[in-house]
Amino acid sequence: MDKIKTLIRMFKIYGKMDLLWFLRDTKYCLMYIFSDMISTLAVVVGVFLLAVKFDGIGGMTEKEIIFMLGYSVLVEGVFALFFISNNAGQISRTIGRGQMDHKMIQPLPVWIQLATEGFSPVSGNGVLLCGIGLVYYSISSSEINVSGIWIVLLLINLIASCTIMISTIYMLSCTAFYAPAAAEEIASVGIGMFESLKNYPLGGMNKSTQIFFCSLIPVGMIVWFPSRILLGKFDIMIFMIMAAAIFLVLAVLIFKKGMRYYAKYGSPRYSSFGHR
Amino acid sequence: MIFLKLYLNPGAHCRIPVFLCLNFKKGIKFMKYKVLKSCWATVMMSAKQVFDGNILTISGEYFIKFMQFIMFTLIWKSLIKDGKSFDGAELSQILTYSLMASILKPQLDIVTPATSALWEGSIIGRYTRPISVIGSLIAETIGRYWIPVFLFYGLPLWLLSPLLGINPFPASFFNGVMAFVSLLLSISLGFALDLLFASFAIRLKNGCWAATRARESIYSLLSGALIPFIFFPWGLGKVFRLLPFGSIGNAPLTIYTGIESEIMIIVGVQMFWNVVLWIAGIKIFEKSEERMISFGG
Repeated sequence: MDKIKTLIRMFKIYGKMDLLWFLRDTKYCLMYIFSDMISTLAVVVGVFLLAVKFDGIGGMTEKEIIFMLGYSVLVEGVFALFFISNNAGQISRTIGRGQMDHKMIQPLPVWIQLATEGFSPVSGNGVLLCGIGLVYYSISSSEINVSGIWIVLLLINLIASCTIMISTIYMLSCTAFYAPAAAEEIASVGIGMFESLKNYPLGGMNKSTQIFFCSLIPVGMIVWFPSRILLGKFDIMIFMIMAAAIFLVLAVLIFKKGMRYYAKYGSPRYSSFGHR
Repeated sequence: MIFLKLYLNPGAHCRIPVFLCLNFKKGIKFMKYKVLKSCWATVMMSAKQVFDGNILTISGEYFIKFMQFIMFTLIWKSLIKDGKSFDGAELSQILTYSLMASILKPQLDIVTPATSALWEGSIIGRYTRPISVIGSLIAETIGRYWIPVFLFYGLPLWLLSPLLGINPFPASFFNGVMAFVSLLLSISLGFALDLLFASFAIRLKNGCWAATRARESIYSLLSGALIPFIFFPWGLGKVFRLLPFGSIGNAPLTIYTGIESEIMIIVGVQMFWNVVLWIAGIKIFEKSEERMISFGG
């Protein structure tokens, strides 16, 4: 119970700090919000134009593609909301620079720090708002039967998608425990992978390719697969929850192993004249 | 006289011995040699830096690039049936387009270190080197992005592409030659646009990173390097191909694959944008340099 209270308190602190950035440096903060929105929308526009030209792609109609892209922006929005600040979503930087030490000396469990330090309710909400708008538009212009259960399903899928995304990034980032310099920026590679590949429907591809893109390179599990569930094209909801749980457990185990290595050997980049 | 002025001017980037200034021909030869030598040294230095402790990240980037290429290949194959054409383009041409777009990405999407150097504060170092700032940025781009990507990604993919069922060759010898000319114009245009963007970034001060992110996404959409313009609805592709961005990506790729029939018009458009954007780029950059403020870090 105490940990939950601490968690909420930390969210409040980081939320307040984000609001203060907006109030003190409104121009630059807005610049970052708009650039995030533009870059996210520019990526999905390409797929939308393809869908219009071909009247749907990958076994999905044009309207279904719009929903899928809306869901994609929504996932990116949730990711931005919770992990955009303080390198929380780019943990390889923290590990590679030897800055895990900074977390270990705090009077707080590391997981609480990692879960809360990226929270940006003001600067990170631009993409989320775009996602909500796109999903709302696609729902109102299609035949999706929206009910309370469907909204719960949407939230569960959203949490599962983000869990798979952040777990994959954390698993990749663990290489920075063993190769701090070489893998310092590896999280950016993971984020880039999701940004550039997650928006394409895999329906037109063969089964083995679909499995590949839903397991080893789980880009299909972020947008395409959950969209199919929400569009009523795939009934087994538990599959998404199971996948998220497996990715989360794997990430926790690998991260703990990395932390044990870090506790034993530290970071070779932590020299006497500075942390880099 | 020019050389003497250069030598005496403390702001000049090249120091030329006085004896050479007395002989115009020798002076020109020496200066060219010096400039080339400085550029080459910068290119090699940047190329070596790429793998300096950064191997995992770079390999990861190449892997994503390859995965994106594979994904596009599968999407095009699912959309266009083999042997059938779509708006005048056959599947084989689209696959070659995607292949060359992936291989030539560093040349079709020019991002010099100008903005990142401004962000990091390392831009000041470029003003102390014996090479012009713009020359240094171009040389660094060639060294850092072109050479490693060509050696470790582009060339292997080009050689292996027949195994993936993709024809890596141009539609004809003429198309190949014209695509090369068009590519040179694209590269030149890319540097001009980057210079303009760097000028914009200078004025944005600490917000330059935000603008870079937006620029990269818009660039790949509007240049046609990600999705060929023939796949754009409502005739958007016809408009985009005449814009500066379209002249960078779409032009050389459609000429190479034989999708573009009006080659001379497209090359003419590229030349037009080169003249306009280089004049604007240099003038605006020179003005913006005076406003340069970098907080670093």
